[in-house]
Amino acid sequence: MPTTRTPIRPDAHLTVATCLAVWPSLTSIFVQHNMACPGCDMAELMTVAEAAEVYGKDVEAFVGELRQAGGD
Amino acid sequence: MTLAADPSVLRGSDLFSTLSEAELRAVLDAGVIRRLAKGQRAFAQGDLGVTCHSLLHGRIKVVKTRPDGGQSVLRFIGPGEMYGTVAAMMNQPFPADALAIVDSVEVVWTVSAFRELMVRFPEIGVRCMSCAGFRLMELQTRLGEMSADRVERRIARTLSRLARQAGRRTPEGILIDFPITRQDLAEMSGSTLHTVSRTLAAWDHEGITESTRRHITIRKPHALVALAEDLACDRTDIPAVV
Repeated sequence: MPTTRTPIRPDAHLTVATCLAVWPSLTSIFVQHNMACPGCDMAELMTVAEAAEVYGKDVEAFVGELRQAGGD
Repeated sequence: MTLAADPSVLRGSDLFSTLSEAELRAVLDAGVIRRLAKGQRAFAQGDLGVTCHSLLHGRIKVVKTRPDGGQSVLRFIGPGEMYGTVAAMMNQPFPADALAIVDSVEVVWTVSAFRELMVRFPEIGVRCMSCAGFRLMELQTRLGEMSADRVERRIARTLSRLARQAGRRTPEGILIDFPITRQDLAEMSGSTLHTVSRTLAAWDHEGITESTRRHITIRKPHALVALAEDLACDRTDIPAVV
């Protein structure tokens, strides 16, 4: 389940909402991938891994992109 | 029986989250803590709007009876949220019933006491306005949906909003964390019991939801959002969240 401590970097187990709250610039990554996560009602209730999976993305690759995009 | 009058009970409230311990004490002292049994009303539609309310514990259904006798569920109020306040501040009758759907605990202030609090702690007024503004925007969206959207989409959006407001992760998925009936859903989404029952049955069959008489779990949140937002996707190969 998602952690509640302040995260150090994007992680597959964080909720989408947490990621976007801590690193707002990651919104553009989601948008580039045509993912409707920013503003989604489910963002606090789904992890980055789950979001990547439902959109057919490779989880590790996606998290890598998030980290590279300034979430590191 | 005396309920604990520890000001920290207000800490989770939208309106008071920035106040200090001493300030919370002043806010609490200006009001009254009241227990509501399941089925009891905090206020009734048409009553003089003379009180402002904030929920500490439980769940309130705000439901309006229309002139045609039908009911519209305007929203559910969860712990930390305010209700009645806007009507009271505007000197208007309450526009709907506020009904406790589980045993609940609220704080109640007279309008004058609440006004004094707003003058003394202006942040309360700012937050009140944010809350009212958010609800106004939501109602505008829902109004647009009523005119333009298919009923299935409206039901999906209603459920999606409820998940955002009161969703809790469980091993089965995302549980709407209070008792909610098909009738409630119908009254919130401007549809009928028959349509909601048929829609939920179809979604249960597709594995998008798992619904009982009084509880709904969303097993495929992305599928629900795809319905709610008209996203292009193949619903059949979406995995359930576990």
